[in-house]
Amino acid sequence: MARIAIIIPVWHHPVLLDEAVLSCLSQQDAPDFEVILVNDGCDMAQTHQSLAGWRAAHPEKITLLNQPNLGLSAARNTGVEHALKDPALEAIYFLDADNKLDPHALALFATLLESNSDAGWFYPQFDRFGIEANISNGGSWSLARLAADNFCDAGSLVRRAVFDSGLRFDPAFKAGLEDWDFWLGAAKNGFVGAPVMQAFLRYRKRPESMISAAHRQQGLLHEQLRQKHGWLYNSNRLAAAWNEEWPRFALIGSDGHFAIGSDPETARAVSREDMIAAIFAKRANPAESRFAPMLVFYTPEALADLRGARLLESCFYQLEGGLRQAPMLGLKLADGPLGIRLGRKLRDESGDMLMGCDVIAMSTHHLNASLDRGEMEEIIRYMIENVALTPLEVHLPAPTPPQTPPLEALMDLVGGLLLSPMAQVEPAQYANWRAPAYSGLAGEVALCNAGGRPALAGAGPGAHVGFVIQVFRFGGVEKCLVALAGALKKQGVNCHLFIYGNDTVDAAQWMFAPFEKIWILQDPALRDWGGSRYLGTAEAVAPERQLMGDMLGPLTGMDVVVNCGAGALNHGQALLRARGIRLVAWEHIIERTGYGRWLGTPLVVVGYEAGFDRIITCSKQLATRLAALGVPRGKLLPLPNGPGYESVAAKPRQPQKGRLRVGFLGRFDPQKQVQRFIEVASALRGRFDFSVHGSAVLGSRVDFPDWLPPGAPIKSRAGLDRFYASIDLLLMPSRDEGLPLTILEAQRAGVVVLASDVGAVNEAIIDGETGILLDPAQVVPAAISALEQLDADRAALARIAKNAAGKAGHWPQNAAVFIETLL
Amino acid sequence: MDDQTPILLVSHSLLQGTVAGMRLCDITPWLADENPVWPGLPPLALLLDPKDMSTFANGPMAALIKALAVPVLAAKTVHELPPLALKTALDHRAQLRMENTALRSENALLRGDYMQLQQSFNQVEDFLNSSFAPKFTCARAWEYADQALPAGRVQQRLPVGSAGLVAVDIWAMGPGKAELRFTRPVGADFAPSLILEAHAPGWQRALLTRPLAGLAGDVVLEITSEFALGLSLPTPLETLHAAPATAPLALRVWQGLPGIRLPEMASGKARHIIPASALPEPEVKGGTAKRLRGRDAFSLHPGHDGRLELVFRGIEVPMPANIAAYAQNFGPETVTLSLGPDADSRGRKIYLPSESHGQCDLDIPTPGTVDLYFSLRAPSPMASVFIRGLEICPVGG
Repeated sequence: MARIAIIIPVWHHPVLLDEAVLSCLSQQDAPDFEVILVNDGCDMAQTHQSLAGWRAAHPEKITLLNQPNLGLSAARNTGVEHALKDPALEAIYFLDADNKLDPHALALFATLLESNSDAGWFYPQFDRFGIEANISNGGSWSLARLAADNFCDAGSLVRRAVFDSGLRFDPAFKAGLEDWDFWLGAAKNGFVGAPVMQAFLRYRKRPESMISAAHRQQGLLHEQLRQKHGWLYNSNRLAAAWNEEWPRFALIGSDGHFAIGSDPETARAVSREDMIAAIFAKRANPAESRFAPMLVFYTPEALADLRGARLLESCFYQLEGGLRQAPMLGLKLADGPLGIRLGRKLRDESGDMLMGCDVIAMSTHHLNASLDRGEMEEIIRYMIENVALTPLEVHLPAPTPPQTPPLEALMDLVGGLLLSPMAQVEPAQYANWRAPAYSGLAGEVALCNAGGRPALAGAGPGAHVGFVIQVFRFGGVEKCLVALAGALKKQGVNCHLFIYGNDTVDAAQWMFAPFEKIWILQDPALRDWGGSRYLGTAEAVAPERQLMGDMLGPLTGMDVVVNCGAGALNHGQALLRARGIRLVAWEHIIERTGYGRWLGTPLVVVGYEAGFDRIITCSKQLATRLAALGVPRGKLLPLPNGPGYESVAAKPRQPQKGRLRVGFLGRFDPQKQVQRFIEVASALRGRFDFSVHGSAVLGSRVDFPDWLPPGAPIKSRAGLDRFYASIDLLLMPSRDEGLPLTILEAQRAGVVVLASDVGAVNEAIIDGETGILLDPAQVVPAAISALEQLDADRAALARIAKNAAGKAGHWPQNAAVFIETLL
Repeated sequence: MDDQTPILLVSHSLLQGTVAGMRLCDITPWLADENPVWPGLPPLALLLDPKDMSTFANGPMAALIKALAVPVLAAKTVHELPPLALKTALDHRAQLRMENTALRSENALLRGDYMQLQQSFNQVEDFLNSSFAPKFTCARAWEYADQALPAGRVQQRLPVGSAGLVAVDIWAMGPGKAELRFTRPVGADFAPSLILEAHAPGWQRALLTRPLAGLAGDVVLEITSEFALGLSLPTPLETLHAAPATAPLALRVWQGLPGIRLPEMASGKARHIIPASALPEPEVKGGTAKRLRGRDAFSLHPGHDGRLELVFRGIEVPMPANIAAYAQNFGPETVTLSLGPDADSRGRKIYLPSESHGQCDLDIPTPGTVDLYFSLRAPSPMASVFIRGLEICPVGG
């Protein structure tokens, strides 16, 4: 009956084995234990003699098991199966044949087993002999760190419960890392490890060994590990563990609030004293401290404003990324349309910029460096004179003025640090006498999160859909996106908006309503469409690695990512798919050049078709065209557009008895052909009332006659309702179209639409029933003729308007199809 | 059969029997021999009938067989030969195995000792090669901070590994005795306990007979004292706080050459160094002195006039001693260094050429706490000098 079994697999260590066995037999004050020697088919006679000799000399303590050579994992498992037959067994210790135990090891094991019932296993320090070194095991347990580095040596004490859960060493890891695999398996089964601070295992380090050979094959073996443990490496679990175990931010409010955490919304409140102590602990033992690498000094007003705008997480993410290049970052709130703009690095010699910031971010490393200067005046001067500040400008409608600037919180903390008695001691005096453990944690987290840092907060329960768009203004694509997100939200799906490209977001507040969070990443490289051409349309240039990581990282929390024309994102397809994220492209229109050649993002998407799970089209016509270009039918998901906004000010329409009112709404560009509208209006001037709303685009100058002054573009729901109420007929003489929202919105408002029969317009209009289709070859005469007929036949006009207004909206059905297909 | 064939020495009456793989030899001539000498490998066993057994027991052959540790077995008939021979062979095999195991066990111990010896020797060599022949190094210094822990039992985790640990200084608040144990959290002590007697408040040194050798382990200092113990400043690392306290003990930890017996290191009697990391922050005039982490040195740069003055205040010199500052010149020009007891006395000058190292020293004839004035003169502000530490070398009796 043994409380602890020591399993020693033996293969090709006939001499060193003697030291291992002797170290077991030399234990002092040991609890009951058994040594199980497993001869893994060693072909050396010396091994047989040694094993037989030890067994013969100590039959009461030593069990000898012989098996053909099956590898280290199988040998350990043989020992495990034998050990578990003893009902009194509490734990198993694995000792490699070339290592040895200190005489107090088993007495220590007994203490560990009694003192820490939460731990499934106890891992040692790396106290090496041979190539001598004392290396820390890195301190307290971390699942995230285990993903990056095997800090649990095989020479760990493992509770019986771990084996009772069915876990064994995997014989597939014959070349090494079998112990790492085992710990990951234990963690998967819900167990955690605990560090042993006291030395007890002496690890013989030779220049060549099984583990050094395994290190040389690290890439292959690590990939094997990642494949097997997809539950950790290929899911949000690693990011969640990282965020929980390794706080990313230390938050210091100008209202005296201190907190530490990765998610600013749920960061753990701490006292000022604890915050100061934690900073000093980081200085003294940076490798094992879990203190945040970034300090954020803020005003509560700024945090509340950012939270209200759903930009808090995005801003912190940008600040964190920015600190890679700058020692300090400042965030300033400004009044204006929503947007985030990252400025150039500037030297702030006067300190004015620092004073004007609403949030100041500083690396902990840099704070420590400035603390080394010794005196408050020196520190502040050092920061102001030498620190280059990279401002982040966040534009919000009417931000709240702060009461106390964050610079005061920074000064207060620095003062607290300087006055602390801990400041009087050199950190070297308290350094761990063991060398710090290696950890490539941040790199591994990035590797498993599509090359980037994950979002700060977990995605939470339920399905999560991310919509990625390059420009977010009051346009048709944006309104479709908002409408679908709104319908998905009503059906219980969490939607997130990612604006990757432009820094200014020129959209109405109601357009953000469906989204849990808004992420803005501004970088000109994300708008660079100067890549190679596919089917005649240039694709986006691949962002450099870091920017790609910043772009993809937050998306790894999504279940589905819908790319609404963000070309740079196509380059991250493989990385996102590797995480099991379903990718969708949403396409609206194929345009034409002035010479008539087809052009547009749908053509690029054909080139990336293999990486998409589905391609949503706004019309059947576009789906057909993409299928013709090579996209498998099964991947196409036509979701017909509906009105792009919910009506807020529409009133019942009365039949127009006087002159009919004809309107135009849209960009003044060659696609929309406002010029044709002017021709029609000129021909019918005096018999109809004409009005135009829109704006010219760069390089498309249009001369309007004095009697037809253009109105401003309309960017509000109420404005649109008023516009549709002010007309009886909408004329759309476009050269190209997808399936324009304007038609659907006008129809809903009882306006009869006359539109050139291009693109998928005929999917929204049945000629003579729900509108009038115009021959695209002779739009102007056809429009004049149709208008004259409708003017003469008001009954027909009323009938068409009524038919069109009765059409059902598509978004709820679209959302249902989306959910059924992709979630 | 060759000469290696095991021999069974048997009575004549048993010679008719056979045992596969063994040769039977008649014992009769041997029993008659008054001065028997056995050539070659000893027989595996003696198998004797009752008559010969009696003769053998009373004859000179018995002493020889006993000396060779050959088993003697009784056999009445030839039929008993094979099983007895087999038993004898098996016993012999088992005995050899036990002996081999014992030998292996001894070898394992020796190999472990050899590895430790190599490592200790290695550390000694490193120590000698990388330093300017100090005897002891103050590895950590946690200064007394006007706080105390009442008399009683205290545990303090040491911030160094056991290898080379030779002494600790603790701060006694008054006279009395204390027992110090260098323990493990679990397991045997590293060294026998020490009794320390303090006669006055201040630092008290507990010195081991020799620096600890072997593989480095985690040391917990356990003190049972009649006097209150001085505490140092609180640290952010609670694991380093004395139990029960919220700060570590005021403590100086000394390391030496592992396992090497050295002359008595009574308080203040030993030659030792104070590394840069254990020196107080100096007062600086005319240039800069920056503490370099990880390199255990001060980096000095003179002002625009090539001059720099440093003052290290409060250096404890508990006996008449010669104090030397160890310096390295990384600059392009020769510099002049000196160490003096006050601002006006410059002490002996040394000229340190570019890319060289040396010591400037000063005699302190009276024990006490001194301020040390270090002076650097260089032709230009280009100079770059490291100070690695101070060596305290006792002089006189």
